[in-house]
Amino acid sequence: MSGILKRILGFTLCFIGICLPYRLRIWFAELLGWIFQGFYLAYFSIVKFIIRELKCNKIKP
Amino acid sequence: MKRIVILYSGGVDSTAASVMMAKQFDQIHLLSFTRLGLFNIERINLNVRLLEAKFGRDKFCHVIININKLFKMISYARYFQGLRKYGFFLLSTCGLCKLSMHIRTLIYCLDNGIHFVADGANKNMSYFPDQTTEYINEVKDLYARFKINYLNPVYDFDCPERDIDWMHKLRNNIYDASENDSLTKKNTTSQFLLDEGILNIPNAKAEKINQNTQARCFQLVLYNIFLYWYFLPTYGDKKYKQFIYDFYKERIQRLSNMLADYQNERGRSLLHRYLE
Repeated sequence: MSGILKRILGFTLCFIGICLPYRLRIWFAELLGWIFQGFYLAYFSIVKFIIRELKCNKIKP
Repeated sequence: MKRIVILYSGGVDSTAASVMMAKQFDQIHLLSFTRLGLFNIERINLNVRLLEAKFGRDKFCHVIININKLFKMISYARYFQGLRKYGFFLLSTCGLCKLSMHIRTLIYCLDNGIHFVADGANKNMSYFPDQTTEYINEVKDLYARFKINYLNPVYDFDCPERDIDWMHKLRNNIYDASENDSLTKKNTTSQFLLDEGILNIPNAKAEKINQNTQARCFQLVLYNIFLYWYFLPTYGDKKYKQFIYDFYKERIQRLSNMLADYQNERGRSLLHRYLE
């Protein structure tokens, strides 16, 4: 993601976070956490799958 | 009897600190903390059992304390004043949470007459506000005001950086055996615990086992967004350190006064309202 886009998104999420009261901020962070966890797992699963397939192809011939 | 309190998260760093302190002190009070937003707190017990197996059950006293009200007060006290002065820095949740833990630990020490405190702070985690030298020095001064020594026994240990990178996480054995072997021989807390016979795998800090022995907190994500997506690209590293120093110095000063009132007035002080 480009720097400027990250900064805009970062500012927006921080702005929402700073406006929220205690409990809501915690649940907001929890929601963000699960979203990022989802992206992270999807990313690693795909890369892991690609590397495994490349390894298999390297051995077979 | 020599006693010490350890701020215990259940991870390899605080476990290594506990092992080091167990050799120097007669009794170790392991303090863990819970609050809204911290989940799976029971995981901490896994490494406590290992410590008890090594040094005996009488050596350790594990206490879990709720700091919900205290953390809320520390995060939101004089909110608009803080917002005008520090802006989004009020979102530095990890530092504020650790400060709540230190305040609660200090109260625990005052109540129980303990004069030593240690934790698993490490120089390699320096983007966490609570593990920067600026923050640690302020907290050291705070403890010293109440005649308590704050120690960081694992601060200078190495971090197996290459081992916790994303290639390792894929577990595809990208590195050859000799390379892995050289990494495990570094002066890390994981290696220390392996040598002491507490853990049986090298580089535990890089493995899932380290996550499975600590409470889960996703507020770290909001803090990381604030830090890496907004604050550091906008203000840079130098300003970050300066903000940490100013922001926490101010908070610690205010809390120090509250602690002094607590010490003098006990049950009638303002701070007493935030203890659970």
